[in-house]
Amino acid sequence: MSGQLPEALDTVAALLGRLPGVGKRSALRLAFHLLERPREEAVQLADALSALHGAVGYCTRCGHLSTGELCEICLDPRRDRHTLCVVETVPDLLAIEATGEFGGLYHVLHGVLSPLRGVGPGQLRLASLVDRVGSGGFSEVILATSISVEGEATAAYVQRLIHRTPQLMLSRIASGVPQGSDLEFIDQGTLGRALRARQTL
Amino acid sequence: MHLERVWADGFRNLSGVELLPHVRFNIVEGDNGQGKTNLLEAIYLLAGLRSFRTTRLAECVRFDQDRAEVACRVVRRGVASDLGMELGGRRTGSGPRSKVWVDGKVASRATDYLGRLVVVLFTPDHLRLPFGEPDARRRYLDRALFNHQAGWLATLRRYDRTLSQRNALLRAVSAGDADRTMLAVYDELLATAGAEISFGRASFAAELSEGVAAEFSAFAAPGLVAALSYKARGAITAGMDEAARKDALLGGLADKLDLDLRRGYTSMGPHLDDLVLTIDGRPARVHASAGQCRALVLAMKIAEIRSLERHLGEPPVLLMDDVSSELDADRNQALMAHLDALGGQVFLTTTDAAFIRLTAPRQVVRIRGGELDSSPSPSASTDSPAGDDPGSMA
Repeated sequence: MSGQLPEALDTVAALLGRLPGVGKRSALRLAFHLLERPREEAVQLADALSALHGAVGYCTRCGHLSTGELCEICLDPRRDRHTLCVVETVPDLLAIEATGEFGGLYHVLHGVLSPLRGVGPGQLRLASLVDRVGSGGFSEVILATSISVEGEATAAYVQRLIHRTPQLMLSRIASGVPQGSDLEFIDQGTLGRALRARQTL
Repeated sequence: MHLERVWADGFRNLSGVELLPHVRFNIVEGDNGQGKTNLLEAIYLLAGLRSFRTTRLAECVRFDQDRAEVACRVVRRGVASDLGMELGGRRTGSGPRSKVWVDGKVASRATDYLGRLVVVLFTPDHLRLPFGEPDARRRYLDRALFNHQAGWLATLRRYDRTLSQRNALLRAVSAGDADRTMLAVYDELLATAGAEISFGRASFAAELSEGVAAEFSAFAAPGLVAALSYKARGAITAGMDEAARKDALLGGLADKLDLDLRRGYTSMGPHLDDLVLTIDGRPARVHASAGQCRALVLAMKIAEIRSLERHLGEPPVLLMDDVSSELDADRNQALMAHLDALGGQVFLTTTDAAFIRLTAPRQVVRIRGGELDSSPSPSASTDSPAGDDPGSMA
């Protein structure tokens, strides 16, 4: 046999190599692993993967993960419908949920502004945020984007977009959060404190 | 503060080097390319988690190794702590790059680590500061400030990141890919971070300048007055506080907007400022002799150490890389006399220990091919063991 890999193996390795944090060598290692394990395991993985997009989507209102049109948080009657927390990503939402400090609703932007990466307002879920807030009902909007340059710029931009009224308070999470860190990686105590000590803008 | 032990393995050409330093002077002797500077680099890295020779730490790992390890035991105010760092090399690929630990526990945040060992570096490059480009002087000032406040690095990084974002936005706006009104967001963030840097640097330069003025006469002809001042671009003047600097920066960004859009680059802010060195009120680089410029740098270094000593409550560790060979006999002697009087631990590298005109207690070690050379040598001598010096007694 020549040094060429069989095409099927090569394709699996190439696809795995597209995943974040997986380099060329680990991708090949993973592909070999799948080949060496029993056939059923690979089939199971393939089935789970092909069902993924059909089974899980995003909430059309807040952008959280959802199996239906609206997510569990949006549907939950016990949630406070007057407070809205704006976050960058779903993991950020989950981090805040895990603190147990927040009982309101969320809006997930699915990213942050970054001219360096070519991400402008058009790529974020900003229009739906403006619509949601504009349709009234909220007394407070908390901007919980991370305390990074990108997170700060996004918060500042949202602050300019949202039409402030006497009935609507706009706040920003306080920085008990270390500079330059992502919310996901902060211990929950710190994040809880930051959330409690949020500042009105 | 002082080091009781230094360890380096797989770090550049060093392999299994363990040094038990003297509390005062440690003269590291060796021919060029044997690893003297590597040893200073290892200590410098342990202090600030950065090298003074490269921004890519993987380069510091010996070419045939996956990882390098550097460690030390530092005594600060009588309390010892063990610091260590493991570096991933070029062969490690995209795995975890480096890891630091304090007293056997991994420190996950730089702030848990920094500030335990504080070093002042002095290299021949510093002697060229008066003639060099402004960015070298900004780096010098920032490193000195970092020794006073470990968070300075994060402040600088935030500014740099904001600057890159604004520059990218300028280009996107010029290309019609982004809306001009977005600039207001970045201008505000940039001016806020920029004012903090501008004010921090200006205040620190003013403090350092007083020390420089006091120390200068020891190294230069009497009667001359040396000073440092931070020169910011635009409408920022010396006495301005942080809020006033922010307003001035915002004004400057607005004034230069058309130019910036054409260039795709921000032409106002602390990334373009300078530290001006003067002798008798005139810029040293144009008006002073080479000897006067050296004297000025020596005064800057002594002033930096003294200000740090006031801040820390004890002298920092001084690392001098082959500085003596660049100085004439008189200045060498004056420098050594100063260092002797200052107290504190000093590491000096040299090709020949005879260059170091020093009467103070010291230890001479020789380094050859990346290893400590324990064979007897006419110049290698230890006249007083570590800990025996009265200065080290708590």
